[in-house]
Amino acid sequence: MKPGKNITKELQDIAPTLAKLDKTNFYQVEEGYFGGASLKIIELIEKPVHTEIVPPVLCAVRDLPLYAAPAPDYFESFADRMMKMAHAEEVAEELSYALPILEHVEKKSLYAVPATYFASFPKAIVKLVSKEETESSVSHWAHVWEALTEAALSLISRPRYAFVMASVMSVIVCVGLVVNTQSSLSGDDKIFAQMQQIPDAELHHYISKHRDEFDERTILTNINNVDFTHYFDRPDQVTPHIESHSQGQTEEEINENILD
Amino acid sequence: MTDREILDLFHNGSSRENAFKLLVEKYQQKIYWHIRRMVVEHENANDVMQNTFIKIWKGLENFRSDSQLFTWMYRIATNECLNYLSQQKKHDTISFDGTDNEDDDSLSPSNYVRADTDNIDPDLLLEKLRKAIESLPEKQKLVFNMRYYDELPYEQISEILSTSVGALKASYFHAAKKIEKFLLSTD
Repeated sequence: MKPGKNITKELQDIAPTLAKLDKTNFYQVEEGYFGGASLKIIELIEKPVHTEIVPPVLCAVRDLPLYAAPAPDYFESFADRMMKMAHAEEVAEELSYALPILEHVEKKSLYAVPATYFASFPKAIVKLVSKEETESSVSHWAHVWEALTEAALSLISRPRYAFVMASVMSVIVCVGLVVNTQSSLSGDDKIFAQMQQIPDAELHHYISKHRDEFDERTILTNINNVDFTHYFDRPDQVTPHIESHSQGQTEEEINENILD
Repeated sequence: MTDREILDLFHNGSSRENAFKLLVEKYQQKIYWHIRRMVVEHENANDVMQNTFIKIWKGLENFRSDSQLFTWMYRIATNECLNYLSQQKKHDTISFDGTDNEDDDSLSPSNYVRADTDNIDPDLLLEKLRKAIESLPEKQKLVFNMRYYDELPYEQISEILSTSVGALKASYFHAAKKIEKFLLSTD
């Protein structure tokens, strides 16, 4: 049975006379009122009311925000926070009948943790995982090399492949030797490259503290722009000259001459 | 920073370590306390923490967002805790004598004398609570900690422990009742 019929039946039981009457409306509205009412209301909302009586200072600040905006992630994390609160309430409610003794006990930490632990842990773990990754990479290549060696040895042990494998391995060893003995820089270039890295100030300091005979000779050479270092560096050219002076003299005589 | 942003940063390649560091910073405390409540000693918790985050680092590359990142991390931490405790059990035959199962009722002797909890010193109550939780069987301890301290919904605990919600509820109530009995005892 429909609710309307119920109501009519109920009224018939209570007041049968009233139930027989037509439900006429005692009040009237002007024609077209409902048709235009919404438009009139919208018009009123959109129309600025009493603008002229708003002081200019208020007009100036009207568009400024009255309240500070919430933190940037406020709305992003809002749902999560609400869910968390809901769960917390659920847990508290559950606790009230599962473990009422703890209902009003503050959830304090039962254990202590070193003061700087959480500040230092991220850095330490990143260092650890990097190290772990390097080690696992090295160990991976070690395994690969081991497997290759094993395979090569097993092939060498078979007479059919022994000669071929020995040849291949000899080639690999030779190539390896050549590659390892070759250097991208020659000896002089290496020294020069290292020298380039030494700061000028350090070089000046060193020269000022370590000016020995060789350095003076070099400096003199540079100053006079004359290359006579070969006189010092090539004893075979100097020796005959000395020998010509020392011919027929004993060692003692030479020493005496020097002392004079 | 959201988990999604951290994951995007990690998969970017050039900033993997940076992303991982952000992840550690974000979740280290939650993971630490979850582990600590299980293994008790800080040094042991630190070892388990390291193993947990190394596993997270190794698995993060293949992590797909089928489950929440936090749930996945919690699951790794839980497995590491259980591995650690089972290794401890093997080495320590004095403390663990094989009675650690879900039916273990070590906290509920039938003749507990009821204590007046209103007059219990709060510090003493917390100390008793610590002892009570530590004495629970592992699974009950896990469920109780995740529900009571971490306030996780049963659905999430279910995902972490691969156990049905019904079983978890039963486990939690069982643990709560044991703890209550222990706290009300005069020992």
